[in-house]
Amino acid sequence: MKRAFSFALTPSPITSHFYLSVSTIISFMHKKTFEELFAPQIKPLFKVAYQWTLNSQDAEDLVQELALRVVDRVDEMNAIEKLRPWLVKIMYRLFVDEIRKKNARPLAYEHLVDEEVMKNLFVDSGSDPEAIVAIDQLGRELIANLKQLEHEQAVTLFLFEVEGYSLKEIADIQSVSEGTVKSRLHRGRKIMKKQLDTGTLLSLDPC
Amino acid sequence: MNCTEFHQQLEFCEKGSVNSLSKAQAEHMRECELCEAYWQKHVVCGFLHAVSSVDAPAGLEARILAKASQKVSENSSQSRKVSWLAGAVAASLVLFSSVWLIDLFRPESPASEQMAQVKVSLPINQVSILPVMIESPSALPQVTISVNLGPSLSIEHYNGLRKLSWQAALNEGANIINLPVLVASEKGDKVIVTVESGDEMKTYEFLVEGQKNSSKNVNSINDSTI
Ligand SMILES: [Zn+2]
Repeated sequence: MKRAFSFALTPSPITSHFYLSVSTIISFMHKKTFEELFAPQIKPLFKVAYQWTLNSQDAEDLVQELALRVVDRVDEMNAIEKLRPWLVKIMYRLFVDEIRKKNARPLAYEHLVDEEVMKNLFVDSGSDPEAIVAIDQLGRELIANLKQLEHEQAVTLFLFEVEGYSLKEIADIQSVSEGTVKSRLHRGRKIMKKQLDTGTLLSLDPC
Repeated sequence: MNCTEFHQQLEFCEKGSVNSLSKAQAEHMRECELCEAYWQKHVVCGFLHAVSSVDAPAGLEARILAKASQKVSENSSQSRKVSWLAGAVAASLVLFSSVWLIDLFRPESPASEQMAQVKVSLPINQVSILPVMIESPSALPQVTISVNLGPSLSIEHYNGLRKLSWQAALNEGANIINLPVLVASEKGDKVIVTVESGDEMKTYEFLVEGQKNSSKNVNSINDSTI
């Protein structure tokens, strides 16, 4: 049995990781390597981890921990049809373990630095000083709301609204029923909408 | 402004960006609860997108993959040590006694020793496919194969990189690796291939010589459908 295959390199610490683009035929390579499977997942997983931690270093640590957990499970990874949700599920367990280890309270973002998040909001605020003030105000209200979410609610909201996972997939990732996911979404949204009034004259656009 | 217009104005948007809401929209919202609820949902969703719009730090993938592969190599060297101390050398020889690495074009010349020397001639300054066969007495679901090339050899597209390592599953019987090799000088160089399976490891070595005229024994890189 023959199959086109591109080598995955074991990266050295100095050179950045890259793939050998040569189309090489290796008759015994029925399976993809860990690097082939995991490399394309790193950036999307980092984004998800960042949503949960809102801190680049913590997000990287989480993805790193995940990589160390699954590096020995190449066969399993090859057999999985949808790799991303599988990885997100394991990463979610690591995230929850981390929270428990730190004995942190259910608030996911209690240590959140407002300015970190505010940076991301000023994407296209233009130069209108009134708009800037209004965005700042709206942003701070939303951040205050975000800090009131329990981590389960926050994870559910981000997975559903931003990552586009279905209720069923989220239920599987969080190991709960779909009903629980629905109520987490409902309560999470309700908290996020608190104090949002029309006085801000602004909209923050989703995709 | 009606509800449809209100919705339409909100739809024109980029992922996670922040726009001003028009006066007309604001006025409409004060009178229309449905549109206000719609706007709130919109704002929350936009906020969540904006919050997530962070760039991955430089070198993220390299760092993560490097540590993961380091763990793999630490694990395999640890277990090898244990295996050695436990006197499993015999098992090692049994496992690999008929794993041979040979030149594909001389299949009758197996290298049956731990360290085998096979000589291959490849044309200089031209990428050639170097076929390597590994014969395994049984299916091995997880082996690590490493290839080390001497300084006057390189793998095509690697810009001088001469060390590769990857995981593979070996079938029972013949397994073929086709390496796209470039030889820089007539003197040629060594290719060292290491096959690791669980506790065991076996090293093979062969010599690649540079040849001025192209050989019948090699395939052009363009012929990648061998
Ligand atoms: Zn309306």
